[in-house]
Amino acid sequence: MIVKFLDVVLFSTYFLLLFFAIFWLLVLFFPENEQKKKKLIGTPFFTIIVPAYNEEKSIVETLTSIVHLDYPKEKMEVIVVNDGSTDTTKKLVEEFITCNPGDDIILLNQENQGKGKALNVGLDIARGEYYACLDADSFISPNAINEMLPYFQADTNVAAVCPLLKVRKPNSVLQKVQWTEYLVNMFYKLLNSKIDCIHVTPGPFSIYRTKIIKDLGGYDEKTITEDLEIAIRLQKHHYRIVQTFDAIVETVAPNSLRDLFRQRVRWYKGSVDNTISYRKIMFNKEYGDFGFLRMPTIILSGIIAIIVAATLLRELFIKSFQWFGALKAINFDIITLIKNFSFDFNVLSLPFFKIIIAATLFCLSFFIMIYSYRIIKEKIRNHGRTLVSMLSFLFLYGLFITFVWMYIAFIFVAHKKNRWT
Amino acid sequence: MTRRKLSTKKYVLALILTILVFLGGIVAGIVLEDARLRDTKQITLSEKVNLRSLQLQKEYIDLGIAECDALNQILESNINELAKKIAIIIDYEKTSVFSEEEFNLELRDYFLTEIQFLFVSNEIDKKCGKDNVKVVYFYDENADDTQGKILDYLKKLFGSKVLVFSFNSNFNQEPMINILLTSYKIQQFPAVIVGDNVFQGSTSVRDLMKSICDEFRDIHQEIPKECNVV
Repeated sequence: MIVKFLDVVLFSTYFLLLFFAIFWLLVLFFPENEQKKKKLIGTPFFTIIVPAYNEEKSIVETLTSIVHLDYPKEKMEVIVVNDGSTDTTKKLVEEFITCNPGDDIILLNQENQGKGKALNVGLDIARGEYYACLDADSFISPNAINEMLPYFQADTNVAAVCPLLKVRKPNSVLQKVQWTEYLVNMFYKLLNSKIDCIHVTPGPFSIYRTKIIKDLGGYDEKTITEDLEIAIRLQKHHYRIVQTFDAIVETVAPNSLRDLFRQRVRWYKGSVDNTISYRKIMFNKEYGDFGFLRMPTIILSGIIAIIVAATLLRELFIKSFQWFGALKAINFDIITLIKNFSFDFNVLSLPFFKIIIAATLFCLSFFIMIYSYRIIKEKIRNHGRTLVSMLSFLFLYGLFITFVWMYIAFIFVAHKKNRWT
Repeated sequence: MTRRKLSTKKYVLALILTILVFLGGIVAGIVLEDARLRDTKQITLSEKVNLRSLQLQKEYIDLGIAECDALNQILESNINELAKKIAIIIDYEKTSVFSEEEFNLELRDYFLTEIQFLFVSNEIDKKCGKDNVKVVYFYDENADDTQGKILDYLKKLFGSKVLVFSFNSNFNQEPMINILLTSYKIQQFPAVIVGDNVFQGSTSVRDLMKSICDEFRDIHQEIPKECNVV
C-alpha cells in the first residue's frame, strides 16, 4: 500500500474534525452549565457607547434604534464618539440630538485614533452600571436591554452578555451566505457559552459590567480586534461571558468580496495576534476548557485550513500537470479520446475512504446549519434565502476562509503591519 | 471568580466515540478489501478459463474444427478484456492494507496468465498468420505514466487490431517478467515493444504510430486510415 501525504493530511484532519464535532454534540445534548435566566429587577442606569468613523449612511438609523429601545429614557445615556470622521457623520449626529431633546445623547469628537481609543473615551465618562458598545452600522431590537441585563443579576461573575447577531437585510448572494454563516457562528457561540469558552464579545451591542472593564483598564488601543482582546482578558481574569438568543442585533454585512476579505483578514489576524499575546492561557489547567480547547483551536483551525488547502492545491497542480503532459504527448487529439470514450464503472474501485470523509463532513455541516436555524428559530426561507446561498456556504465559503488564512500566513511571513480596515 | 472546569469526561467520551467511528471504518475497510480480493480471484479465474478455452481451440485449428478468423476475434476480445481488468487489479493492490500479500499473489497470477496469453497469441500467429499488431509494454509504477496514456490513445485510435500486453517492470515477485525483460534486452523504462522494435525510455506517439503502421504493412493487413498521416 502506498500511503500518500494527501491521505495522511485528510485522515488526520478528518479525525480532528470528527473529534471536535462529537465533543460539541456532547456539549449540546449533555450541558452542565445551563444559564438560568430571571426577570430584570429594577432598572439600572445604562450607557450606550457608539464609536463612529465615517458612518453617514447608517448612523441615524442606528441612533433611531437606540431611542426606540424599550428602556426608561431617564435611566439611559448615549455617548457617540466621533472618531475623526471626514464625512457628514458629525453633522448628522448633531441634527439627531437636536431632533430628540428628550434623549440623553452626548457627542464627543476626537482626532481619528481608532475604535479602541474611541471606546475608552466613552467609557471614561460612562455613568451606567452596565454599558453596551454599539457599532454605528448595527441596529438593536427594542427588548435587547431587558433581555440581556438579567444575566448579570443572576450571576455577579458575569462580565459580559452577547446578543444574537444577524445580517441586516441580506440582498446579494454574498450577504445571504454571511447570513447563514452568522447563524452557524451564533450556534457555535452558544455551545462555547455552555462551557465558558466565548473568546469574542462582538462590537454590535455586547453589554458589559462597567466597573469590571474599568478595573481591567479599559480597551487595548493597539489591537485591531478590541472586542476579541477584551473578551480574552475577561476570560484571563476568570469572568464569565454569556451568549443569549433573546436579544437580536442586526448588522450590515460587506457586500463585496474585497470588503469581506479585508474584514475577515482583520478578524482572524486579530484573533491570532491576541492568542499569541495571551499564549500563557493556552493548555493552562487553571483556565479549564478555555485554555485547553478554545485558545488552541483559534490557531489550529487556521493551520488545518492552510495544510488541507495547500495539500489539495498541490495534488490538483500535480494532476493538472500530468493531465496536460498526457494531452501534449498525444498532440492534443482530444477528438479521438472523446469519440472512443467508454465508461467503465466498477463500484469496488471507488475511493470509499475519501467518499466517507466527504459525506460525513457534509452531513455534519448540514446538520449544524439546519440545527442553527432551529435553535435561532429562524425560517430557512426567510428573506428568500435560497438553496444556492446554503450550498455556497457549505462549499465555497470554506474555500474563501482558507484563502483568508493563507493570506494571514503570508502577512506573518512578510511581517506586514496590521491595519484596522 | 469562576472556578474553571475542564470537561474531561466529554473529551474522553468524544475520543472513544471518534475511535469507535474509525474502528467502524476499519471494519468496513476489511469487508471492502475482502470483496475486492474475491473480485480479483473471480477476474483471474475468468481469464484463466478464457486462456484454456483459447488453447484448446488453437489445438483444433489443424483439424479444421476451429477457424482462424473466429479464433483471432476471440483472442482480440480476450486481450482487450485482460487490459481493462489488470487496471482494476492494480488499483486494488495499490490500495490494499490488510491483504497485501494475497493481492500480490493474485497480481502475479494475473501477469503469468497475461504472459501465457502472449505466448498463445504468438502460436496462433504461426498457425493462422498475423492478424493484429502486438504491443508489449513494461511500465514503471514509480514514475508518471505518460507512456501508458500514449498507448491508451493508440489503442483507441486503432481499436481491437492493436493488442497491448502491459507488465510492471518493478514486479520482482515474478521471475518470468525478468526473463521477458532479459529476452528483449531492456534496461531502461518505460519500454515498448512493437513487433521486433524495442523502444526504451519515453517514446513519442509519432514513433510508436509509425512502428505500428509498419507492422500493419508487414502483415499485409488493411492499413488503417490513421497511418496515412505518418
